[in-house]
Amino acid sequence: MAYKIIPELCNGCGACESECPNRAISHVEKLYTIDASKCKECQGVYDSAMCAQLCNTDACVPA
Amino acid sequence: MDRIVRINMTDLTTSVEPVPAAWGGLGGRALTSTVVAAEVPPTCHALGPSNKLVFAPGLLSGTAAANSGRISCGAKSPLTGGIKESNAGGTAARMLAKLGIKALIIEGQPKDGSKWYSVHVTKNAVTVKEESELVGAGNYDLVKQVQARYGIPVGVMSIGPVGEMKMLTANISVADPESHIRSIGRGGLGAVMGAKRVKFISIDDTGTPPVMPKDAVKFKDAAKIFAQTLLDHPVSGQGLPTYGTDVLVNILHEAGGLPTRNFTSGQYVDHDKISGETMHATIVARGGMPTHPCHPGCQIQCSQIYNDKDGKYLTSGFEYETIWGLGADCCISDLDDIATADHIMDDIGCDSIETAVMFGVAMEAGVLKFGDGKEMLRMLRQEIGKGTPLGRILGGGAANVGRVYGVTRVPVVKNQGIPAYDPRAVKGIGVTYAMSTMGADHTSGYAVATNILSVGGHVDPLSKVGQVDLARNLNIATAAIDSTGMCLFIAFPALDIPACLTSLIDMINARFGINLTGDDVTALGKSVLKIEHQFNLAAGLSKEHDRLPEFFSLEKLPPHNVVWDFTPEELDAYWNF
Repeated sequence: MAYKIIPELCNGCGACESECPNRAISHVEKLYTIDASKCKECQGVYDSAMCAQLCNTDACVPA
Repeated sequence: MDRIVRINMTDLTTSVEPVPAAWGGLGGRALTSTVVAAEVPPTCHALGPSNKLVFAPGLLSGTAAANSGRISCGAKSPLTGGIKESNAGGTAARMLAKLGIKALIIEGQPKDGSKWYSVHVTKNAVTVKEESELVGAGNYDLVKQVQARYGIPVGVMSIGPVGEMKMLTANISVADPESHIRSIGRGGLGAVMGAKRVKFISIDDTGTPPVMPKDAVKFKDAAKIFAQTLLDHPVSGQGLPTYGTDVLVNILHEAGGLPTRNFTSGQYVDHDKISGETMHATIVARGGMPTHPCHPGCQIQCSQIYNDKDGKYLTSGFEYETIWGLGADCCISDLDDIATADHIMDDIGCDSIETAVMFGVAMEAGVLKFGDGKEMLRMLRQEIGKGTPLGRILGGGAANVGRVYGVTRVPVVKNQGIPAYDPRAVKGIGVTYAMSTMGADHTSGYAVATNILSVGGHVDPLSKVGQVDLARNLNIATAAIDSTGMCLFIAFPALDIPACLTSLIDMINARFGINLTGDDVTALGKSVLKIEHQFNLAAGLSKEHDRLPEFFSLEKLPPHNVVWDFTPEELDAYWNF
């Protein structure tokens, strides 16, 4: 179980990256991606995936 | 739970207090100005023990709100002699807000004036430590070393050698997400930090979640609407992301309001060489990034990464006012020289507006020749950066250089350099320059928006009609925006798209579980300006200081051949609210 970032919806603001508790999010220039092997959907840390909570353009969704 | 953190540099102790009820609804500039007005004697020496340096994230910092990552810094300004608030992006505001720190107040002064200190802020403690290793370091190297010391990208706010030497151009650097530099630029706040003997503040937000609003559903709905309005507006959604703020070079040249050769013309023959369009093409050709957020969550992304000819990083946050100042005003047409200067100024820690305006005055004085980019770079590195006697004169800013060399064409208000828009040809911004509690500051009431960009309607830039009302309203609105932690560029959609402002207020209400109206927000802006004005009056800045330099009334500005023609009475009406 992991989240992913839909490139067409992502504006590259970086809000998600700095708050990922598993450091699963990284970027190359404006392309942000989630490493599925690191993403735990924030289980045990937050009620729901923090990237999706912070994203204002609905780009972070379940993979 | 939000708290106030005090760092007493006299006895090197720290303390934590609950937020006083009267400060509960304040953030950013509203809070820094309120603290300074309440606790700093207006007649104190800005570099002495009675001044206080106050850092405050905004009301929405740390939340999911787009563009809410500005950190406000306030003190009595050693440059203007009045109250000062200057704000910047970077990661510090978000981290302080997550740590529940509503304000960080640095007060007092070490009795032993030979030692330097650093401040480290974590979830559990705020500690002051003696610092020796990084004394004298430039900001770029300092950020790298501090982050290596802690092993994670901690937030960093620091001063360079110019701040250590307490020069009036000194700024405070704030590390951005790429560990590059954003600047709390104006008013010499870096000199105040140097006077406190604090070389840097590091912030570790490990173990703190984002700030959760009282009403998460209402907040999320409003945050999405708000972000969309930023993307929908042509200035914040297209112009700024593509060309950065430097998009303004060609626009101001066309309008005849681009101050050139130390404010003797409104047009620059080599405008194309330094324009946003040229900068964009250069960045793309060299593999840089034309669009880049200065803080996490920025939807506008007017920052950029500008590489040198070899494709190596040279600078970022390369702003119109810097490029105008060293370009048109100093007649340096080589964008690489200006970018190199931008890097040096960030590194040694001096305000790129004050320094650029200063060089225009120094060129007029014959200290160096107009257009001599290489000598300008040498002076930054070898004179100002090293603190030679000449460097200290130049590092004292435009007004200082004007006095030392007997120059009469010195574009300053309250000793602070006038940026990037000639007040004779863009009269609305001229009113802001004259009346702002900050000294000449385009960001305190950006009438250029309405005079030149036709945002929020249109007021003829060459006519006096409507300009005082425009400047007053924009200064009030800006004082409120500066209190939210929002980037000022949200004002473009806020002036044109009704949903922008309503969603902003909805976010504040959802964040705190309150019911503010638009009128409440306006009232906040008014109260901030009145607090600041009262401080300035008590500090000795009377209405006679709310004026532009005489040369603007005596010398016609080509191509429109206009002069500054407001009467004192017309200007003083600004304070009728």
